[in-house]
Amino acid sequence: MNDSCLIFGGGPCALETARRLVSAGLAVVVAAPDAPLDGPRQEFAALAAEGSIDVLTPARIDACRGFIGSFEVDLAIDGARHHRRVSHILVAEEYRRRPNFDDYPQLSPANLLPLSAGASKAQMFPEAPVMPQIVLLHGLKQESHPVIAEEVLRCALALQASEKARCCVLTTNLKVAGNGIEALYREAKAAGVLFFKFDRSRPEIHPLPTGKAEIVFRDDVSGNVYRLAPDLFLVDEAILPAENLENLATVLGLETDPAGFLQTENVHRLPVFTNRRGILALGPSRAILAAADMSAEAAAGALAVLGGPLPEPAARIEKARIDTGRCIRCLTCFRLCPHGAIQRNQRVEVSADACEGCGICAAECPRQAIRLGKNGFGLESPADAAGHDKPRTAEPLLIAFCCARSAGRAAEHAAELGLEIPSDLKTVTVPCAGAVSTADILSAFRLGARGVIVMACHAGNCHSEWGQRHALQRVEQLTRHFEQMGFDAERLAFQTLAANMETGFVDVIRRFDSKVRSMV
Amino acid sequence: MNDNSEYSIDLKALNRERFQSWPYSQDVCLTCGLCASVCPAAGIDGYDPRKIVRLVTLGMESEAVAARWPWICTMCAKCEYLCPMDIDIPNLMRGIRSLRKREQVPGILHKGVEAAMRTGNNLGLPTDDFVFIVEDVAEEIAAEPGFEDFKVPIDKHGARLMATIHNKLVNTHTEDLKHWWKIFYAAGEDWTITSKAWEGTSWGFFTGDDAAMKTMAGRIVEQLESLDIKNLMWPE
Repeated sequence: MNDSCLIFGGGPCALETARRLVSAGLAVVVAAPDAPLDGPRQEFAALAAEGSIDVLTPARIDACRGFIGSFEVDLAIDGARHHRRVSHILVAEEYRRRPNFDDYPQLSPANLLPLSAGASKAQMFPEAPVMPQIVLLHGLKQESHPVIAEEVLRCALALQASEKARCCVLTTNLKVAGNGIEALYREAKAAGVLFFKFDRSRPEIHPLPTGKAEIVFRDDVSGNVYRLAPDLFLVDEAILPAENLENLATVLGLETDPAGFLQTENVHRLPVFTNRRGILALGPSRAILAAADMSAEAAAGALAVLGGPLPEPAARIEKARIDTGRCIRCLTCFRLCPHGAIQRNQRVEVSADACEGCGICAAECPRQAIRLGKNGFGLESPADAAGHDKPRTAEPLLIAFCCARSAGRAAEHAAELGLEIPSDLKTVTVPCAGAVSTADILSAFRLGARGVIVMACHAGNCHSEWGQRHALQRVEQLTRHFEQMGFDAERLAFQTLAANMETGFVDVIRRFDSKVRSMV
Repeated sequence: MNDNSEYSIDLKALNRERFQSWPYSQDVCLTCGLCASVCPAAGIDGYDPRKIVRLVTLGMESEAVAARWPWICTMCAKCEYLCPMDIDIPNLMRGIRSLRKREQVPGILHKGVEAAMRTGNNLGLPTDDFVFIVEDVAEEIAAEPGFEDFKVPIDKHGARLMATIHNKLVNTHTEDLKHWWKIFYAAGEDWTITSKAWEGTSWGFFTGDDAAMKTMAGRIVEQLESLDIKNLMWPE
């Protein structure tokens, strides 16, 4: 099954990934948006000597159906339609770099260059002044990034050391959290690069009648105001995802981070995995990374395809199953599935290979036609609700629906640590808070619970992207209904937690318990 | 932030290489401010160690040399102790001190240095007077019970230990000579002071005058050699 892959991208990361997969005997298709490719086309073509590789460019994705092991991809190449069936898709498209010229409207093109214009004086100055004064503007209007900081430092160091320039770096924060960047910073200072950091004030740039520009700023450390009319301004760049990524994300059903990279800032998204099994985001398509990290990304991508220890084997998860007799093909599940695991064939079906068992579909299906593994969560009778061997007591009965990845783990740790929990608490572990339907919550009350609490992962950290949000919405909706009904809405609570918060779990439960006890 | 009328310094005009040869690592200063936070003199005249280091890094020699603050610095070295970049701030201060014309060295410090160059001690005290004072103190010790045979050795050839003396101890604080001397006596130490190069207070060190420091140290070494003494106690 793992015999063919589609790689989007034409740069070094895509090339390295292709090479690893081809050497492992897989058939690789490379689709790059531009022709010619970023990396030399010969390098990709040379891989043909090692195995099966097909390079398609300029290629654009039109549609993708199917799941891990059998993705059906439609590509448009020069207007012609091509179809490929692959087991995995890897996206490794190179960055787009945008100089932050807009941040400095006072500077004319004659005065400034983007950072990647290079560190060669000869390139920058056709008539090179001796010891040119150069100002590097870095992260002044928006937060910077260690990858850019490293480039700024290397550039300043090269100019100072080999080109005898006089460099000043003006910045707000110099992000040195990266391999070797602190040492580089130190080297740059020793070479004579001056650094000025701004907290409250910012430099001001004034165009001069000569066509050049002057920069004026306060240095808080020496307490003085300085001015400089440099020979050149170098402006840092923003590193952005490839233009193509937005379309790829839409077609492939991938969640993106605010910048548009193909992996959300979610603790459950380990490198190189996305919300869809079998679709991997590597290197420049995943996040802003240093060039030195790209080869590790390619290796991780190849390992994921060839069968590494991650992700969690699909076989261990309780899958959703659609009862075709009840299904009315409303496609609610299809629209809601965060993992793209539902397919519209003659019947609407869940792919066992792609299903992550979150249960969002089961909770939302208007016909209750979807089950996760076995029936419900074991809340069938009052005896179940109270715990099999405990009779119902006069004390308030609390039922806590606990997401297995967060509150469930915290509860286990709390038990291991011997932390005291109210005795009439029943925890019901669910694969994701999104699996807890409105009906489940009402059942819990109907079975005698005096208080029901739904505990989920923190916002932004739901393994199923928005399961936590669904759970919250249901709780909020029920709360409004309860208020209208005259039922004490404080008996229903919602709390986000992380897996390492065992004392937090106990605190929340104790407080909820005493609140419920105080109600009549 | 600033209007055009606010005074600004032209960065191009600064001599950024001025202090490049100084070995105190000031160029790697992070401006973290740990030095300023611990300095007992921080804030006086609006200066602190970080600001001085910054002026040096920027090559702003005249402002640093004209400031009073490098002379207010007590050389306690707490700044150096905390500095994460191991910058030798006390010696950097001393370096700034060394850049002042000697007539502008504050107070009596340079006059003391000149006296020491001329006469061997900061007070310009003649040798006979010095010997008279120390022998007088020795007699006072000998008058105390248990110290009846105390004598102060002067220029004793081949002694095990030679001790220098702070000039105030033969001027206004002669009583304080007795503490060390009684310890030497009780320990049975084979010690001596010298009638020449007895001055232990090297104001060339304070004022950044390396030549004067070298001269005074040289004289002490000469004494050690001519008296064939191997150990020196220089409590300054």
